[in-house]
Amino acid sequence: MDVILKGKYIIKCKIKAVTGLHIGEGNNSIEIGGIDNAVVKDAEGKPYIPGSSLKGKMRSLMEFAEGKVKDDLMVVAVKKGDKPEICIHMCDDKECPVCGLFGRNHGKHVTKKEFLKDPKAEGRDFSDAVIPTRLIVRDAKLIESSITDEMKENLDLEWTEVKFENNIDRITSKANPRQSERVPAGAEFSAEFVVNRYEVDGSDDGEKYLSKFIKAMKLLEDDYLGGQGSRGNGKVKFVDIEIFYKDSSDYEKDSNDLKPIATAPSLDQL
Amino acid sequence: MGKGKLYRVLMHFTTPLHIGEKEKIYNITQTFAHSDMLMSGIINAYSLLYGNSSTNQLVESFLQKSLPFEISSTMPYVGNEFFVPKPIGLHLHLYKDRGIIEVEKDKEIKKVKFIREKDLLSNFPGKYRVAGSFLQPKDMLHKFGDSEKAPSLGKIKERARVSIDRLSSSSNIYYFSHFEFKDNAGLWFYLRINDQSLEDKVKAAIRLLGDEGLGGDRTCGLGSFKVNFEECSMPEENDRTKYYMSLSLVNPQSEDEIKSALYYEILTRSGYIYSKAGLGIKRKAVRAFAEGTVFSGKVCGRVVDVTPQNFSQHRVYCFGLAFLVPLPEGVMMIGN
Ligand SMILES: [Zn+2]
Repeated sequence: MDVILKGKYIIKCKIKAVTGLHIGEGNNSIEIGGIDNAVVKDAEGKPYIPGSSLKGKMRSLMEFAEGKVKDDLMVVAVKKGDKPEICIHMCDDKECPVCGLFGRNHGKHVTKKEFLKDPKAEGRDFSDAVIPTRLIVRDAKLIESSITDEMKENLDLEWTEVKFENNIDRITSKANPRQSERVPAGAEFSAEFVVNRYEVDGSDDGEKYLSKFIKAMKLLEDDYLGGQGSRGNGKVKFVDIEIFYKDSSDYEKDSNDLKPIATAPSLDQL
Repeated sequence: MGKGKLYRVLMHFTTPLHIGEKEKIYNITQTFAHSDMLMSGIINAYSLLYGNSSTNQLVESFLQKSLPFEISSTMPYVGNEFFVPKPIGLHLHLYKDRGIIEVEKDKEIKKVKFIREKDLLSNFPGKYRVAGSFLQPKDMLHKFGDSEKAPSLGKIKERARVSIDRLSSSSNIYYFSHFEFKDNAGLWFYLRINDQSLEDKVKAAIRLLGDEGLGGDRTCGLGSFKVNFEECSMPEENDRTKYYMSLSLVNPQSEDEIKSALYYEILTRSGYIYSKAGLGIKRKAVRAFAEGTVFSGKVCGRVVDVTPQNFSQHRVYCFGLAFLVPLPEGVMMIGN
């Protein structure tokens, strides 16, 4: 297989937290005097949105939207004994928009259907369909000025608010108060996504994957990012969108000032 | 050691970097990319830009020992200070005894891993101190901020990755560490272009590698860097040059090259194949002399075929070509 890079679509925009945003560190270790449900922060202590969270959520939403969440189209990513603990979609269909955009993992995969029939099933190698992942999602950094002085007055910490939540155990009815950190509504992050345009064995992607990616952005706006989404957290909106195209021949030049091929204040105006 | 145009290539990382020392163990991080990994990144980027057949031609010329270009491993820079690994066997205690290096405790000397290139190549013309793993001029401490004793490249941070089941929403979490470079620090490497007709293409591949990212978790944005090519020169060698230090991994091509290694460390290089065929298959392991190895003469090294058995898509190579710098006259080595 010959895969040649034709160019890159670079999507720059802001991600605006419409409601409070909680992307946890996933770390339940409690620092004494610390917050037991903290948000991810960079080396300077500022919250950010990890590229992996954005990418993971968008992939998951695309899988549903493209009709890929079916037992014979899902593979077992993590198993616990005989149970398929974590299943995600992955396939060897060369035209699959989900795998084409978000990528395939190396090695052998067993579908959920096969696994349920036989937990010892060996699975198959998708190698023939593996090409470099088209989508690159960078970490989205907090735009400091988006947290205004007025907002700061209501914050518990420098960039974030801390909410007490009272979770009630359904079975014992015991209250379990815990605190949880959130990035306040109104905060903005600067985001960058790259969609590679390939020519695979002579066939040019064109704008196919760019439009699939914009669809994924729209799906995310209608869903939520991070934790506690069902309680109103994590609604985000893409604003001040700019799309650039970098041709592969640009790499031979010393510097290149790219001009946007499209700009829009929001996705529905793109 | 070719005679081509020489560049210092500065990699200014715009995102954190994850380079796994032990494959598939995500929580161990190492901050530097060895020459073999860097080379395979450049060749892969070259192939994305120019396709399979031009890439095969390029690799073939390396195998035929006419090197179109040469590279070193990556090394740290802070501000405008470029560091190289301490030559293995450099007798720092003797430099201390002569009053060139000032230390409070002898054991500080053991911690030295990096030296400014210009200090090493001029055989330490001033007074020096040990600052963390760096040996640096005594009066340079202030350059890196009052509160810091040693030049700091950045910070190691831990990152969580979560996978979530599509239907049950149960989640699986794993951790791995990455490195966040400070704004004024990063990695650099030498690039020597021997075939001028390829200069633009090789530079293009390196720029593309910067956009694609180096190391792990690239598609989640890690390992991206901006590139700067600075033309530079290497000190002249003469008949009295006794030692050559390698700034790359070296896989010796002959018994003579093995014998000429005077002070050395040996690393095992293994891992998974990374290519467009993109298979999670283990390549054959090879051993190589580490950066900082000191040779008594010029060595070339070689490209080793590490294609695993029963793998037929393409050949897999490990680049063990030497990138040498001549050490200055009068440099003091252990036992000499
Ligand atoms: Zn698929």
